[in-house]
Amino acid sequence: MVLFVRKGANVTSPALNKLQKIGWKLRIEDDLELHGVDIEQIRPWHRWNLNKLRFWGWTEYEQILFLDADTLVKGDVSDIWNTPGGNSLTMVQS
Amino acid sequence: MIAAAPDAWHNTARDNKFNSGVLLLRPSKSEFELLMRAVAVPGMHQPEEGDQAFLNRFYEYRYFGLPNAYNLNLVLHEWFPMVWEFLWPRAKIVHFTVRKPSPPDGWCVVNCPQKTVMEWYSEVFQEMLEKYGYRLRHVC
Repeated sequence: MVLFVRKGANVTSPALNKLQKIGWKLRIEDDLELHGVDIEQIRPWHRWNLNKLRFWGWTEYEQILFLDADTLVKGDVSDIWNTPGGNSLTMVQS
Repeated sequence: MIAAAPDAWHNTARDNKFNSGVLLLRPSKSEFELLMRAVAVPGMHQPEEGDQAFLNRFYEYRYFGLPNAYNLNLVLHEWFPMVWEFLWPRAKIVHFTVRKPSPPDGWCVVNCPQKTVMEWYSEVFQEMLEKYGYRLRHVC
């Protein structure tokens, strides 16, 4: 259970400690440098979301189930690892 | 590779675009580099958009669908109550799109269309506070 935290979000240490105690492994990272993208033009509430692209670079994981911070897990999600395309699909190169 | 569930809006319970709040993905250095290059290609990323529009464009004809239960969109609660009722017992991940999780002051304490769902969130949140002995900082 990994929590990506934007370094630029300046989340306080007490808050980070509480998250760790709950079981989150913290990954506090800089924003991605995106060439050809003017961050200021992105709607404020979506401004930092292209940071999601970094997860494709976390190659120490075979698969990642990414969840937005405004979600709450209600049921058993373990079936997800059997999703068609999960294990069987190799990348479709365009 | 990517798998995601359909998006929903007030006028459609099942968009043909996916919602990027829940993504199953397979990390790959070459895919990562491809995505980083693609986002700079004119027309792939719209200037005001975040990740969702871009990823829908990039994976348009080849993403795998996840069942809606993996990304139950709170917008359905008000606009498609029958769909919500059907999906709620099956829901694995609930997505607070139209009303964000927030400290109790911001919760729907009097009335709002999502009252029952926010009460559920509140219960889970309180359980978490009790389990870890956390107290809320007073929010003015």
